[in-house]
Amino acid sequence: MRSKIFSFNWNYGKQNLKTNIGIYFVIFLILPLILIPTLLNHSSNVRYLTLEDLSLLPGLFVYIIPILLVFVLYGFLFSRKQVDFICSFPLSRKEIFWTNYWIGLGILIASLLVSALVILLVVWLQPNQYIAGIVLFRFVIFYSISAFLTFSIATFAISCTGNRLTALLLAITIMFLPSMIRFYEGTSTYTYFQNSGFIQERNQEVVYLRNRSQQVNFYYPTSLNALAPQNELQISQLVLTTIEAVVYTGCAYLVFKRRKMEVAQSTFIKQKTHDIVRTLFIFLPLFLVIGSFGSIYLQVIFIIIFFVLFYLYDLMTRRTTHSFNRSILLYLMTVVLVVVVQLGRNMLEDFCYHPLTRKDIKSITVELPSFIRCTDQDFENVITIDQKEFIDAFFDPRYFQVETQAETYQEENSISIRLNTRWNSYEYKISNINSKGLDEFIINYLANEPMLEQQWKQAPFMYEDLYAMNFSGMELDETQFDYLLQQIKQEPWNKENLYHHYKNISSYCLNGNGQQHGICNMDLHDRVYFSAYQKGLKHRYYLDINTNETLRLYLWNQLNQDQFNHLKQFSSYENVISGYIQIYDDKETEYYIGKDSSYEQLSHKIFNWLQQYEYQPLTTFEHQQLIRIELSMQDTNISYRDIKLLLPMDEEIKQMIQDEVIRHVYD
Amino acid sequence: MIEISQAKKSFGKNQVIQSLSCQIKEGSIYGLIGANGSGKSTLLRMIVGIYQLDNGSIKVAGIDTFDQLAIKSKMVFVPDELFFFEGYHALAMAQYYSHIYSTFDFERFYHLAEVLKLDVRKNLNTFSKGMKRKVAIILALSCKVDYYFFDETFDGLDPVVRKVVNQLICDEVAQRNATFIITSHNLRELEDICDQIGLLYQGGLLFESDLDSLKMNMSKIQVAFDHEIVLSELPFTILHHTKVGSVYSFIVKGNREEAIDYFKKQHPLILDVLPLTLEEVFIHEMEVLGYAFEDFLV
Repeated sequence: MRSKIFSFNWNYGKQNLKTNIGIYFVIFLILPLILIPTLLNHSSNVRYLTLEDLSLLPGLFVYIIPILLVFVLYGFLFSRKQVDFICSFPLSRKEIFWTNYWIGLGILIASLLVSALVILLVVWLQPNQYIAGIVLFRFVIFYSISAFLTFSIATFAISCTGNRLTALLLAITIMFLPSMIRFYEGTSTYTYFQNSGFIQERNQEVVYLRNRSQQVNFYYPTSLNALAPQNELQISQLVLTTIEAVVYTGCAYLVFKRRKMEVAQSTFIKQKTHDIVRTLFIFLPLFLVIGSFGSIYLQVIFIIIFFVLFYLYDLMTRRTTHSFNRSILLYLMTVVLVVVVQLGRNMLEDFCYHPLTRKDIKSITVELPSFIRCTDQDFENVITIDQKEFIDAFFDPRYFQVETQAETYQEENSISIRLNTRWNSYEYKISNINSKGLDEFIINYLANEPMLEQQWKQAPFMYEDLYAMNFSGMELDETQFDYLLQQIKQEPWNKENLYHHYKNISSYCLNGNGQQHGICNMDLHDRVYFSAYQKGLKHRYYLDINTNETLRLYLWNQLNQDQFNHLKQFSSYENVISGYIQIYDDKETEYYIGKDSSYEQLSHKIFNWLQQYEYQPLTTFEHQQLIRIELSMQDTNISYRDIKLLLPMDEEIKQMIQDEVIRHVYD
Repeated sequence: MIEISQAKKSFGKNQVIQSLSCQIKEGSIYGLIGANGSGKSTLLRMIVGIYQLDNGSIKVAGIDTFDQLAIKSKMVFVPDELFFFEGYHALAMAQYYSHIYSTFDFERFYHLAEVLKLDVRKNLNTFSKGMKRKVAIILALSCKVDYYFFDETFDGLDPVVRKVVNQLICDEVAQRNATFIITSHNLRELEDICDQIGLLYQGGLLFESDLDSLKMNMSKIQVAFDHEIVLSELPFTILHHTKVGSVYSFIVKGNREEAIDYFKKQHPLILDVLPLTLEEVFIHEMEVLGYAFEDFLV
């Protein structure tokens, strides 16, 4: 039975499947089987699965399996006997090519679909794992397209040559070599200490940025770059990848149709083609090595090793023993070519990529000022601003100054920025900056109500999307969760109280005029962080509860009790590493305690006091009525635990501190 | 009819087939002989469409053979190096063939297996070279196509089996007007079966003729006289002669009866007409053309 549309010969296809059924079955099952331990092996109590969670060994499925499949389907091309056998049959080349091709694609897609079913089954069987349908959809689409590309490239490679090793190397070269070329396009790389590369020409309103990275980015299929933060798919990248795969498929078919079948068991018919291709293979590793290491001796060693491989390849594939001189000559030519390319790299960059001007920059992504950063590790603490005023401010020395010849790297005076153009982004970490003006600009930007209001309108979740709440690092248990949810629902909360975490700052920090007030630090925990699972993506929101005294007191008291429970695990002062105590007299005063601190005696006393303390619930948030204690405790040799307490002021401890301060002064 | 016109094929710098032209009639058994590396296998692969021609054309029943399903479905090829799927037995291979060839006949397959005494359910890996060749022949003949291409097919077959296979081939030709092209480097293998013989030499067809007219046009006569004869006075072409004692052996080209009548008139003591082997025919034909026969068949 023949299909005219797909050029699929069902009889031939069926027989082909039958002859290699074992291998196809193994290939088919690899991904589903690997996913099972991935899904079972996790330590979270509750797990909401995103695409990233399902990305175990993406390389296996994206790279290895499609190539393996192609080698099985078209493996007859490597054997003269099999070529005679298959090609003598009443099968057109078109049928032979497309029948095997559709079988291969079918196996890949079927494997993904079965994997999706396996995921559903495992998640269903486990009560504490959840997955949204959209995530499965993304999983299938993302990996289908990625595998499609690799499959197409491998098919093209195998159509060109009659030697297995050559076909494999050709596929790898096609997959990775374009990225070496793309390397010059300034893909987003991250290097420290680039001040010398960042030159501002303020008079000309131009900034010259040389994105000269010392790193090399190995190729990821375009589609893997399509995995944007938050696990959403970049449609444009997926479309490009699909187009790329279709092009390779078309080329593979054309090559296959015209293929001279006598090439079976040899690399290429023409010696020249063989030489060009093997030069291409060795170009890649030479390019990585030459000029990349500090030590010239190491480079030479690698060059020698590569020559040995270069010659061995020729022996293995051409089976000739008299091509040594030719190999030497070709290799030396390749080395020279690599050196020329390396030397010409700067010129190439200048030729291809003009210096960035202010006009090129569409937005700037910058870290939030340190005093408003969220301590939660999940948070990005960056903001992307596309306002012209902000971009102009970035280039205005009144706001942002850079020492162009910084000699040392200072974390506290550094900032990470990302300049986003239409097609690309360039990351820098710049040291020795004075960004006070820029910080103020950011805060004012964030406090600008019209902008926030627009963002507020985009806020939000449905209550049933919530699956976790966190207050100051404490995951609320079921009782607390339900209570809080009930409170939230009853209160006239409106969207003004609810922010998507990185788009706003705490209103506690600002009094409306952009000025700092009180302790402007998110660690004061006037927020409840919610985890929501919406459309297959995890979102974090926070609710500012600063205006709800009842709720604050409830949560702080819950937190304090939780912290005391943890503290009770430590019976010895020896576990105390460091910490501080804050009291509020007429001003905020902070004393650093812990081992080797100047207030070590105080630290001892406080620890003992805490061990004896009978918990008194908080009843107010008046500053003078509060005492704040944080201790960093050593849990085991390698882990630590922070204890954070906000307690009602106690006269005993107040006296203790005063005595210690006096003693400290006179000592 | 199989028409090959100015066919050329090279592998790199090596010109394997050089401007080869020939015609093979329907319902004939064509023997293609040549030394190792003369291009026999390459020519067959070009005819069945495995290799593309560099130049020229090959048509079977008026259709170009390369990548043409209509004509390929009427052809079956048995190569010199056989391929069977790993772990398969003959019946499994037959099933594979049956899915590719719509004319595949299982009844015939079983019958031929019986004739050639083959266990169709035994793993082919356990078969000897000759047995594998029998399987290949059975599979091919069961396809019931119009054109069969056998490359060094008799290699490995014992004389008994060879005789059986010859008979099967002749039956195919007689009953279905099938056309066979069989290659070999051994003239004796082809002698009993072929209608036509073509001799390949360095990529070209050096000599081609049908066997009957070849043999009709040549005879081997052994004669003895009680007197001397003058060879130059013989009124027919002597390709070759030897004398052992008083017995002459003549290879005579031309009409056999005329030669016999002439010798009878000389009152010979002995007059015998001996059978000519194909090899002897070729030896003498090549000598006429100025070639030493050892150059062609090693």
